[in-house]
Amino acid sequence: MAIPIEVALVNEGTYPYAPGGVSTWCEQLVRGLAEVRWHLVTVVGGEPARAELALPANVASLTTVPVWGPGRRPRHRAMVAAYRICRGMLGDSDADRADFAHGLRELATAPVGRHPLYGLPLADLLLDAWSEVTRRGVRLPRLTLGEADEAAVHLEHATRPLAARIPRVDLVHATANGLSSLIAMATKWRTGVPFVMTEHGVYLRERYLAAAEESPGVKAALLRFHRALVRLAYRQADAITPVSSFNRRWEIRHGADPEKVHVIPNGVNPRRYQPLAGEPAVPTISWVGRIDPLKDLQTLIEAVAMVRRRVPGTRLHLAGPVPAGNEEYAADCRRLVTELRLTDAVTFAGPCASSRDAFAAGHVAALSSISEGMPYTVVEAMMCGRTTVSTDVGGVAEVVGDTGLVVAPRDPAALAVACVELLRDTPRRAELAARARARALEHFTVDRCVGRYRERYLALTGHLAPTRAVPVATRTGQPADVAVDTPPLSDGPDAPVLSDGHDAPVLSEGPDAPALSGGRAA
Amino acid sequence: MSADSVTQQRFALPALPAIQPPPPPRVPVQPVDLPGPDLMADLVHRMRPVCARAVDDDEIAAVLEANGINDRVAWRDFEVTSVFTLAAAVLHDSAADRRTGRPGAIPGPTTVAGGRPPVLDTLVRAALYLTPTVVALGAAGYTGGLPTLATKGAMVFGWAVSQALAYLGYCVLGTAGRAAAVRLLGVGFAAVASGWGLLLWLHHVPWPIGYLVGGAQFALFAGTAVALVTGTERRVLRWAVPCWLFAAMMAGTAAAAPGVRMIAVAGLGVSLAVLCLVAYRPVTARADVGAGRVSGRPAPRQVVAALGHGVVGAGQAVLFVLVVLTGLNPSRLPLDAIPLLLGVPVIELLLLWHQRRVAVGRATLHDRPAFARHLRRVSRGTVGALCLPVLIGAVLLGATAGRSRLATTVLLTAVYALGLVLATHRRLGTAALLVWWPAILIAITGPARPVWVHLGSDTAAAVSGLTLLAACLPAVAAVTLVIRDPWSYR
Repeated sequence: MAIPIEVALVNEGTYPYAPGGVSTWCEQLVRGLAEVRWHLVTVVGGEPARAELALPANVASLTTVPVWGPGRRPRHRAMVAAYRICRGMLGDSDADRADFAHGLRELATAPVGRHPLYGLPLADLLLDAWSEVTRRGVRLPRLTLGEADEAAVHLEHATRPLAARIPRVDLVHATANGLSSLIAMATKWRTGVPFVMTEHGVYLRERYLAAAEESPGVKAALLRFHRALVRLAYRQADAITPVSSFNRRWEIRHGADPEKVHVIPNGVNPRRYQPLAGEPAVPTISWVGRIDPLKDLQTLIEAVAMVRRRVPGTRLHLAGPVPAGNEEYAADCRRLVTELRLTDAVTFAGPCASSRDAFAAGHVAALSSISEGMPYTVVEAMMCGRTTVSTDVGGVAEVVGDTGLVVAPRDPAALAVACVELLRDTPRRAELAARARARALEHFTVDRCVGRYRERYLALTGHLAPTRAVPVATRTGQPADVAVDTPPLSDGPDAPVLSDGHDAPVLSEGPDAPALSGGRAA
Repeated sequence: MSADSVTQQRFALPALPAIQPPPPPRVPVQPVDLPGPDLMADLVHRMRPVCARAVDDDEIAAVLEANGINDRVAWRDFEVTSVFTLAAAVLHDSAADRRTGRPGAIPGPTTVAGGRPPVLDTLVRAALYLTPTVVALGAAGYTGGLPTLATKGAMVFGWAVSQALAYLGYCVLGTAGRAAAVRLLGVGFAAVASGWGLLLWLHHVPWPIGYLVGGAQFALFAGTAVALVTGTERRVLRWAVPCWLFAAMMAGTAAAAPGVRMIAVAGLGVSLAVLCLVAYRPVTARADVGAGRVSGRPAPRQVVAALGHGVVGAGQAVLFVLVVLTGLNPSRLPLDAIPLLLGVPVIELLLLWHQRRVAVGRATLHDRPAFARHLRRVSRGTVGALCLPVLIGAVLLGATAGRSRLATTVLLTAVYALGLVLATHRRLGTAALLVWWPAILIAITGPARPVWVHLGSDTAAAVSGLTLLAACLPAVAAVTLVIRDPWSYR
């Protein structure tokens, strides 16, 4: 029997406007759950020019929620709610958390379409709240009036998603914490619709890193706001589905109920990433991704220079676009290539139609990122039967398991040693590549990923019994919470061994759940 | 796979100093007995700059993870169960180190830009403002006999439009980027110039000279406006130099042979066209792309505010025509206008100084009463400086019989200064009142006075001066209130 379901998929600045990992994931979900009627909601800086990705027929609507641009004054000045938000986000107690939630909820239930904090003396309210909270003993840096002005601007814009109008749906799926979840929470408060939150990167962690260069007062204000928001969203979410256990640690630390957290790793289509038959004649390291500081290509380029001393003639094949705004970084990378006299050894191949082609150009696939959630490129390389040398960031080690080498980020020497090891040892490379393909087929297919979300949707909309997660202990005795689905959906915990001997807290997988409306993902 | 928040596009990842010694924690990672205390001390030392600015231990955990220290490394190297525990320990030890005064690289307090305004930039802007005047003087010998619609009319309208469009340009620049702002200005000026051309045609203004004069004025206003909005004043000014030279050539060859005159006119036309092309070059550049941009269409309330700026600009232009241009010999350098030429950059510098002092106060002070005191002190200085042209104009008006034109120009400078302060602080209504009511009074007692009222030119100038003085006195009071209001600076 067909079960009609409408889902709002909320993301922050990605699908369908910008290509990248989150957009790929969204596309897989939207196309994979063909029986769902999707309402896409994208939080954007301003009105985007046009969608970069074509939308399938089951997308019923596309809504953008700009956070910058001209404001719309609210009909009622919610001074008390605004003060509650300021005070609640700065404090550390349960009362403060309740204050923050109360204030935000009050704003969310105001008429939609108006920016709730626009036109309010937010800087003054923030200064007052700052004084009150520091008098209570909360340690905060001193806040100058200028910092209060700047922070107030950010806060006003950050709460604008509360004004978003989204269509009537059965479920909201936020693809990140923060602003996406703010829309999901507001919808839940207004209409009682449950919401799922998926975290690709850890939103709060990324905010900490992004705010590093702010002045102390602005930084403290913004991070306190994001921390309070993130914590509230973790508590309000009906299910949290991080893409890796790495994310899960942060989620539980900030108040997520472990029973609601279910790790669902990303997957790729095995038919699209068939195993590669041969290897190139010249020793080559391939890399796929967008040219971005987070990818730390400079470390990889330095590593290649070291590799060439041990394996002469080694080449580096870089495939990926330079996103707008990253031109300077790309130029820095090219400059480094010239400085290290690698001009003939490094290829900047630009965007590629399929990462498989790029992996075919190399013997091993490298990932030098300093921050990742669960990178598709690693899974794709594994699916293509290429072993990987990756940095130990985010959920990378969980994905790779014992099928590749994982090194510390920002360490070109370690990266070089690992690459040399694999380039020189053909039998080992072949063995790891075969294991990588097998591991990817077992754990990281798109059908399994989409099927897990189908289960969640059915459970949250009352069409299927909910699942639970239980804490288990690893072999080393360190606690690691592992999500386990209740029968009949679960086939038991699945814990591939990490390279360092710890149990990888990877989730269990279950059989395909019933289709929501009788159809299967294309 | 990670995404920046749309509210914080910048992503500056703090990198720790070089790892000493560099432990290559490759996976497979074997538990190694490393000297824990030494490693910890080393880590604490390296993390001190981060800890000194950290909001909480989660920030330290985020930085540690971004530098490759995850739970496994924390357990292996530091014998703590997670990176969060390690972060708390690092923050604690770092704070203890600071208390005991151990050396380390701690960033100093954030410095705030001082109060010295950029004099050169201001002079460049003033020179840009001067360009239309220079061109007008150079072309004076060629425009005699043309209808007012093509000369002073185009100037007043162009002045008003440039104020309005520049305001909208700034709005669009802040939200949709430079190309969108330049596009808006280009389309706006093209539309307005076309409309003005239609008006000239309806009034049978002689072709082509009337249209060229009007078009040249619009081109000058358009070039200046886009230079101000996009911050390309220096580049545009460089390309304005040929305009100055050809204007000088036109002034010097007014009585020369037609061929020479034609060369000068053509040169001015070409140099004006080049100036506009240079100024509007960003419009042909690749548009700002991505999901983080707002459309280049201004909001309705911004359009309303732009209209307000246009009304103020029109009033300023009408006053300029009535006070400076009326009765002026176009072939002579107007010495009486010198106070205005000097006053414009001085006003700009004064306002910059004021804004910077206020900004320094907001950037350094922590409580509002202290800021209010600071604002009062700064405002006293600013109001005092703004009162100077009013006082000098009043004294000149009373003391220099027969030289009332000079006093009137000084007072006009004061009106411009006060109007600029009011417009900058979003008091557009008051600013419009300040420029329009003396303009109307001067017009009634000047060019629009009844034929039976006979006034000598100096008497008319004195009446204009008194009118301006009467406008200045309440305006000074209004400005005093406005610049002492903390809300004016939000």
